[in-house]
Amino acid sequence: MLGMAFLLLACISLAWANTSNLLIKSAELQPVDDAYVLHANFDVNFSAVVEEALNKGIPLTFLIEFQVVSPRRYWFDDEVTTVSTQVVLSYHALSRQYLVNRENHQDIFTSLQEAKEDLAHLRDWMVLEKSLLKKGEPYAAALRIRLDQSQLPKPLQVEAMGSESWNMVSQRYRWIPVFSL
Amino acid sequence: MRYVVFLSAALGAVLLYLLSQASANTAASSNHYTILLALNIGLATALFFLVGFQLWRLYRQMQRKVMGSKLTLRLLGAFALMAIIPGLIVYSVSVNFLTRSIESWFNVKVEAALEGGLKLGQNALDIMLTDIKQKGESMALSLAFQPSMTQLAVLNDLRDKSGVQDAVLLTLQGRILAFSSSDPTSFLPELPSIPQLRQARQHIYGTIEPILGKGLYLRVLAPVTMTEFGGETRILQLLQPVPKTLSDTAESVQEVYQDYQELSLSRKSLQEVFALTLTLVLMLAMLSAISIAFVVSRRLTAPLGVLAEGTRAIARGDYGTMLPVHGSDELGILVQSFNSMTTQLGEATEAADRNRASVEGARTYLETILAHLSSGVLALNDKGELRTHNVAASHILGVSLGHFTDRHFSSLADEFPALRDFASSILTQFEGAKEGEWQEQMDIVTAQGNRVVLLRGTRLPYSADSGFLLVFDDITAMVQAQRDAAWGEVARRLAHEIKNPLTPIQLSAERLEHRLASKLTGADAEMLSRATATIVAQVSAMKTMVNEFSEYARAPALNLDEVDLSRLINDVLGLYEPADVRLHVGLQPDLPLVLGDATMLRQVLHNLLQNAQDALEGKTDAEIAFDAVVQGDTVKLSVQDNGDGFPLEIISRAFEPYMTTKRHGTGLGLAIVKKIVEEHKGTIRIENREQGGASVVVTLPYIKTPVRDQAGSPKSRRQTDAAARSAVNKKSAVNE
Repeated sequence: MLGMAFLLLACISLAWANTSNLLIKSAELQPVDDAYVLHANFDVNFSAVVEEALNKGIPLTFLIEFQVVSPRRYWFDDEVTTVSTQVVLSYHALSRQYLVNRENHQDIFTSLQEAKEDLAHLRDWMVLEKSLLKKGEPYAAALRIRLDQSQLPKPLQVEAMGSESWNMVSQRYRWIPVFSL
Repeated sequence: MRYVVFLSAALGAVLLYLLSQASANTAASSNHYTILLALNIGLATALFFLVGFQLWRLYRQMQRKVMGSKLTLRLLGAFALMAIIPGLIVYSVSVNFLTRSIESWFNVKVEAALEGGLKLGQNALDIMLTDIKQKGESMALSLAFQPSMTQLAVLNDLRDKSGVQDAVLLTLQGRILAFSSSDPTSFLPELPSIPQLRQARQHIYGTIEPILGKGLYLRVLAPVTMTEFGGETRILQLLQPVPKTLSDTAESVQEVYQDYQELSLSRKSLQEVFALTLTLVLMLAMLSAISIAFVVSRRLTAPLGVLAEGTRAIARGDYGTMLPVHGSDELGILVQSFNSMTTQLGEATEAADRNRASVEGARTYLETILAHLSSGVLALNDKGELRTHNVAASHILGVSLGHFTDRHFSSLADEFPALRDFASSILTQFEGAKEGEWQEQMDIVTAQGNRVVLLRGTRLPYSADSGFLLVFDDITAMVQAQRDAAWGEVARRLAHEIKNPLTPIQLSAERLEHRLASKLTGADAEMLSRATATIVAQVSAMKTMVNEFSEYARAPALNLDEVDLSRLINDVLGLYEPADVRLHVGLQPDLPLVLGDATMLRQVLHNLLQNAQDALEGKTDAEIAFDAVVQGDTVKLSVQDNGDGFPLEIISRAFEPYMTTKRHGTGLGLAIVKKIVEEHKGTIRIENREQGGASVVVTLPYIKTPVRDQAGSPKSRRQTDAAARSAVNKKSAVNE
């Protein structure tokens, strides 16, 4: 019985491993001086195809997009700010290490697992100036992470178009942030 | 439609160019590659629908049998074939070639070589790393026994000796204790990450690290167990850049290896991309070609449609439409020729119409003339069939010729035996005659009695309408008039010549008797007196006869006046009282007045009654019927007897002088009667009655409205009378 359950679990995890997905587990805004920084935790999974491509030296570019809007009832929401950042995950064949590049910063990991863990944690991303916010107004925040397919090599782009493994887009994570102004 | 086609073709060309650019150029247009691909697919689909729409339209046109649509289809097929066949060949060859060449990029040897190169680089780096590690170990050992005061100097010393670029002594937390560098530009060392520090706590740790902006470095972290502070552990970090040449080579090998891997990974998709691009190129090219073929073939066949329209117009008889001419090519010239042909046709038709109208007019004119001609006209064709006849012909022959048209002329003789001689004589003449005219006079028997006709025939000149033409006149009246005139002349001369000696003969005979009567006696005297009496009597009889002759010849002028026929008839009948004949008189009461000469008319009545009485001489149960009735606009007088009637041989010539059945008689009675009646514009007819006996019928026109009731003045009436009289006079003059 227990064995059956394990088998089932193994099957599920195997199936899980075969489909790529990005998931936002949590996100929060934290005030720092006169701005807000974003912390977020993702769940990052690569399918075998994607992992193989990564190990063959194809860099994966992830786009993290964040938006704060002020909702309006009868009209389009008023956009307060929209920012995005790039995270590039690549494999360095000579040193057999994984590199995670954020803007001007590079982290090096010996295993893919570590690299993925690093990728899964977003820390101190400055997204919002306090001056943009008005007191008493309701705000909504949204976060999304996706694989930037246009940065893939061209043949892969074509392949990625209809492929489940390459279609890595998280659902939009929405929450109502509490701003202490 | 044309613009849509050319626009889409141009758009397709632009898109294809961009697509091929995108396929070739890796970095710049990679973002737009998918968009371009999608656009191209969209365009191909649009073109596909366009071609489909065009085909559907063509199909509809063919169903409606629009002129030129079939030709359009054939031209389209030809054009499309010309485009599709080479296109497909090029396409299949290129796809095949492409697939093979892509396959040929990848082979095991190349892959092994690349991997080997990469391994070589890795090994070289590993060897260098091992070397640095050893140096780091020995340096860590040396440092372990140094007091902290001299650490920096020793570190410098050791670094110098080992030839490492940077050497840093760190606490376990990563705080810098001492730093030595051969690079004068470096103020701050590249610090290890926390996990690295943690790992280096136990034993020596070395990695190859690509440092952002600086290139490839070898980093070694060695734990230093300080003897001085109770075994506190420090970390020594050695940082050595990989020699430029080696790092460049290794990096390039890695790059190529990665490129190769990338390619081999996406080999299939690469083939797909190229195949897709090629297919798109093919489809766009083909569809554009077909669309353009549509437009071109339509352009080529458009003048045909115009021509067809023109032909239809001509078929309808509309010569007025001019076709629009465009282009100076052969089709344009064709349309121009068609236009000029239409014009000429129109003119020709107009001329033909005019001609026909004039011919029609001429024919009508001819027919009118023929119809109003008093001569009978017959036209026969070569086979002797009746082609044309006029009213007068029917009238003269007393036969309706209408249903003999297109039948052989002899059929006339078959149906009317009385006309056998007429028909056969004509046919004989025509068969015999070669050219020129012939003329013949013959008698024919018709319903109106014997007629004398003068035939003139001629053969029509040889042509489509060749045949025979026959013109004939009823000359009965003329012949009669001639005969009458001749008889008048004879009578006048005879009277003149005979009258002269009669008086001397009578006088001489009387003188003889007078002179000799006294001298002779007895039988001689009696003989003389008898002879002279005979002479005198005969002479006086001859005188009477001569007087009659002269009377016939004299043609006295009529003294026309209104005559009351009833009174006249009663007068005559009163004088005439036969002894042994029963007289039946049937007079219509109130007979109208007749314009005539009372004396003459009295003579006519007298003559007729006398004739009847003579015919009944010696007959028992003799009776005479005298009737006078109004018939039409004439008064009909008939005298009928039950005698022997007229002998058949003379009935047709009964009105000629000296035609008599009486033993004594001049034979002038009926002749004079006829003359008088005709001078009164009347007619006289004799016939034998079926039950025996003769019948003479005289008709006289009566005065339609009495003078008193007439609107016009009596004077005009007189004038008419005078005119009539003078006309009569003229006629009698002709007769003399």
